[in-house]
Amino acid sequence: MKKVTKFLSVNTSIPILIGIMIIATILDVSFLAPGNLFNVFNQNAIKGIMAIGMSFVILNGFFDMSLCTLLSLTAALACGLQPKIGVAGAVLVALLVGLLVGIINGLLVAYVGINAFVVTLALMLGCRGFAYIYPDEQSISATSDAFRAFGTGKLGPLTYISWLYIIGLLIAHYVLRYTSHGRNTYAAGGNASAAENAGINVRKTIFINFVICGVLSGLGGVLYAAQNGASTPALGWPDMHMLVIAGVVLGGTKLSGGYGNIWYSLIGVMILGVVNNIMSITNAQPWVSTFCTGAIMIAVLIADKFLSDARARAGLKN
Amino acid sequence: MADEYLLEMKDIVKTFPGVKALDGAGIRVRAGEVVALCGENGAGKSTLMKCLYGSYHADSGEIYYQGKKVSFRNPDEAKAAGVILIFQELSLITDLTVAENMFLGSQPKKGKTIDWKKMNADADRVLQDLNSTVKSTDYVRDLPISQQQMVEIARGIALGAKILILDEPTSSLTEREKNALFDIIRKLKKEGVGIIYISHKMDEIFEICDEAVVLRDGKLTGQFRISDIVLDDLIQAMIGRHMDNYFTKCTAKPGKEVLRAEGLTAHGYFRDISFHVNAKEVVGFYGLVGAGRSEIMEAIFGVRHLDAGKIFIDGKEVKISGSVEAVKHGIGFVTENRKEQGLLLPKSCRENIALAKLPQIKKGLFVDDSQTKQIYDKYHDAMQISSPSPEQPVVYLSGGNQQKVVIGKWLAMDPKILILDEPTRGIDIGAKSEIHNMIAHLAEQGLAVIVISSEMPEIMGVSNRIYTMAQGRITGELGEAEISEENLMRNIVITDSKQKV
Amino acid sequence: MKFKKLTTLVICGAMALSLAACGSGGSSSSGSASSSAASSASASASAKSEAVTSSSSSGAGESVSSGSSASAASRPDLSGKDLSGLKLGMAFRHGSNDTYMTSYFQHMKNYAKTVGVDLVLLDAVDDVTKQTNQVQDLIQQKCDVIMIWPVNSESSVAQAKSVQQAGIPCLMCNSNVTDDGIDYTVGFVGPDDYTEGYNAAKQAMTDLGSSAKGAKVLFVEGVNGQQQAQARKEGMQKAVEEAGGTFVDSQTSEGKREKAQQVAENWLVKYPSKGDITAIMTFDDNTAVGVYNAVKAAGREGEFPIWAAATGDYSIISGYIKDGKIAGASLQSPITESETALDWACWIALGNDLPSKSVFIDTPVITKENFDQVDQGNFEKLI
Repeated sequence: MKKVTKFLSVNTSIPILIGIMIIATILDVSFLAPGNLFNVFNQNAIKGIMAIGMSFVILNGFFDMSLCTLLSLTAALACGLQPKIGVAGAVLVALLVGLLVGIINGLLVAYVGINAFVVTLALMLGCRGFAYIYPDEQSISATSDAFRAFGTGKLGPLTYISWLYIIGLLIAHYVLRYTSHGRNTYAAGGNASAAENAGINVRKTIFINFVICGVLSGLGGVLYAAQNGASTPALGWPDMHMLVIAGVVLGGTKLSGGYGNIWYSLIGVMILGVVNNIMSITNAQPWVSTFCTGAIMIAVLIADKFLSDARARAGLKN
Repeated sequence: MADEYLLEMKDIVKTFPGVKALDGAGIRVRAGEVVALCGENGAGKSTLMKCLYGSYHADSGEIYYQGKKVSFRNPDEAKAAGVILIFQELSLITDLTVAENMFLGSQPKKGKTIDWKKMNADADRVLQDLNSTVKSTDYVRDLPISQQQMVEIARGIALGAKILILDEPTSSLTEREKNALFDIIRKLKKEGVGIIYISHKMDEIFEICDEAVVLRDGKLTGQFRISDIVLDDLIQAMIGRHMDNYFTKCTAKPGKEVLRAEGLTAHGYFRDISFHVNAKEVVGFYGLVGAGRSEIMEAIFGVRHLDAGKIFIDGKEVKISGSVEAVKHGIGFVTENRKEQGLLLPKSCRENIALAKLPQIKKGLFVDDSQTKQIYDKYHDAMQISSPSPEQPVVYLSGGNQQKVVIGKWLAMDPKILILDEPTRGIDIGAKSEIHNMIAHLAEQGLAVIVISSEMPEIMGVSNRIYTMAQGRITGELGEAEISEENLMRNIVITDSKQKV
Repeated sequence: MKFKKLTTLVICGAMALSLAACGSGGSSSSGSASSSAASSASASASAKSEAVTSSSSSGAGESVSSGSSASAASRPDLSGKDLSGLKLGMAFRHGSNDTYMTSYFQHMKNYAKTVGVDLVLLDAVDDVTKQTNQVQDLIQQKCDVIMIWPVNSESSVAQAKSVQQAGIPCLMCNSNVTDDGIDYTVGFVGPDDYTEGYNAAKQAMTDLGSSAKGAKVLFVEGVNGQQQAQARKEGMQKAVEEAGGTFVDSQTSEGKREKAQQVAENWLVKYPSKGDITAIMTFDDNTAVGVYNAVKAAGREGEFPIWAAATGDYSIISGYIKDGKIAGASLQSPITESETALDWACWIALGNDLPSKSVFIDTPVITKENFDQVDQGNFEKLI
């Protein structure tokens, strides 16, 4: 039992998620219907996939704002290029664009040393431009039935996209826990100079993480296009990146870097998802939902600060 | 080439622009022996080590390692060869486990996958060898500083160190931990590891080291077998300088008591501190870094909490709860790091000098710029601040002039008591003496001046009286006649180490 | 330490506020989708319809399958039916975007209460993804009928499909899905955008008299991709070309009044002389006001008429059309439209069919001249 309490006090986002789910059930018992719970998971799978990418960057001590418009650009490419080069080609091109954005972000932040906020903000604005120019400000329908079928199809109670998310989580966990790159990410995020001293190529690590985030963000756009059957220029605007970052941070990963894991991002995204879901079920005004999300974030961050202060005080005693 | 030595550095010369840091310095270490590297601050100890370690490249001289001539191009090469430096500032990653820190960058793997089991087991083995209670799965952030230092050393050993350089390793260890460290050192000696032990603590040097190498002004002034010498020999080799008379001392007769402290205590920093300062007097505070001197002055200035003790100004007890109050009582504080705490770097000289007086020189809602200019002119002349114009942003000034601006700022406040913490750190010789002159001058004009310094010549040159400190306690008060290098050296360590704060 | 805590709180507060602000901030797609649906007759449930029913579904740009004759403002006869057991769900585009949508949204809520139906009304604040999620939620809640006012007509195809697959009738409101989605829906209740545009422009060209032939018309578009804005444009363009004129230039206002004003300002500079412009037409009343402001500021009031395809905002009607600042538009009432939609949704929930795949609401052209004669629905109530 003690072990469980210790576990929960370190991984505070779990009791928070459970608490929110309890509140949700109290507000409307239909929340607990299995169909609804799977629904919540399915609805947030794409955000979750993007949160995986963002986690890598945040663990490294940075964050990526360009996600929000990159989404829209890759969605448009994935749809618009289908008639010309087929589904596979279109998706590949879209992912390459994500890769490219990640590379640019990575180069500028890791090797040139520009502040990540500025770099990714610039990329965000750039992508926004292309996201409107390429499709002529129109939304584009996906012509491939296979594409749409993938986006909306289900295997059991979970959508294909949800399964993709689960696979993504497992791969990310392996990388973060069992590969040099993963451990280097933690080291570089925790104390970059100590990591350098230990011989870790911090710049390369940062670069790779931005590339990962770029590719996964691009993938997010493609999946949204598959799910909606179309791309819209305003997809993701104005705050998708904030929501993804919020999901990562809410789960317990520190923005300062070096602390957290991929399962935290799952929990964080689900917390946001549950809040949204309960807003729908109770027919609440949209602003109530965002207000609640903000309030929860504050509560979580404050709780986390108190807990880590307590831990630090306990640790210093000797 | 001496085969008997695991490491030998000979005739190392290293020059930086304007300064010859090393002038024929060297060191030699036999396998299985501990060599102390001694010298004052600035004698060249860390420069010599950096030349060994590959961070710097010597201009001339030779380094022999394992019988071969070497020149490490960078720290990675040195590390790979088994020359490992344990930094004074810990370089651990606190959110990772002990095992991970020990094997950072070189984790054991099965193919591409990290083998956690093996890593933890290997780490535990090393830790057990060191008789440490730390476990490989502990998180570094949960360990106290002393155990973190242990992990650093364990890391060096895990990396296969043949030469281990320990830089002030016991600075944050308790007596018990120090003993444990020394046990480890003895164990390492048996295994043939050569250790360079950099420390100011004479007692430790005599306890654990086999040889001692002394540097002074970048030169090698002594190489001894510990068994052959006594403490005085070491001190003599360290400080045999001729004192340049570029210090000016305040020659006025001390006036009335201006500041008195009784029994000041701040848990963890200093204990039972009592001293007094008179007008027209310069009182020095000397000790090693970490002795608690700056902290005491911070408490006097109201920016650090006092757990016990009383402060008297002009004979009346005062309670100072913040810097604003301190300033009202006439206390000025020139801090250690002028760049972070003393100046607004992008702002002009004029604005910086007028900074402390700002609340008083308003015209309506705005700052009266003409008054700030007046203040600037007054101090610019008085202190000979060399700056092209009052509008020059201070960030472009030399260190010496920056310091003058900071001092000018405080003088503009008409203080009674002026505290200067390491006032000439990072300043060239010429400006140094100007500032020393200024200090003497200010005292002669009636100020009570406190100077904190870690540089012995400086503290001896400017102070009328010196309080020595070690580990948060005052270890002695030296009057004019008693000021000498020997007395100072003796008092900066507490030989009876039970007296920790 | 205290300072650090305070800073943390402040930063968290700022983050929360910005999240809240961001979340509710509508994007640029804010067409004041005034779908004109004036029930010219009284708004009672058993409505008789007179008025001009234009049944011109000329096919072009209209995503309505053939055979859609505008059932002029007909409402189903729900008298005596028990509606209390019905559960309706509506995925709404944006409940606070502009006057029209807000009126529709609010009135929908109230009317449902009056009628005694359980209505779950969800606001997607113009976010496509959010709407998809909300449709999923409505399906999960096992509604009898799900209504959708799409954020994006193309994306709503997938949404309608999932509703149909769940065995629930899907009714499109105000804006329809694109062609490939029609089969997933049971129908559409809303304005006939194309006809609104056509009628308004036709009246405009008639009023121009001899200048109609060779007329140089400038057109202010709605949000790109917004299907009904597109339909209105096509309707207007057809009528203009039929009368011998052309669209000299056509630019988007992104649905915003300020942008429309900017666009008009640029035009006034580009076409400085009298006679360069024969008329300016816009896709809705909101943007028409923007154009008017620009014209007035340039001192060229009265030089040419300003027409909107449709209007649904009483303050604009009384403020601008009544005295001719805006020459005219097809009129539509959000009250009548929302009530009609809800009525038909109930009808379907009771197990009946729509009289036709598209139920169009009436949209007479209103001008200064006929201001007092045209029944303006009930939306003086809205002020």
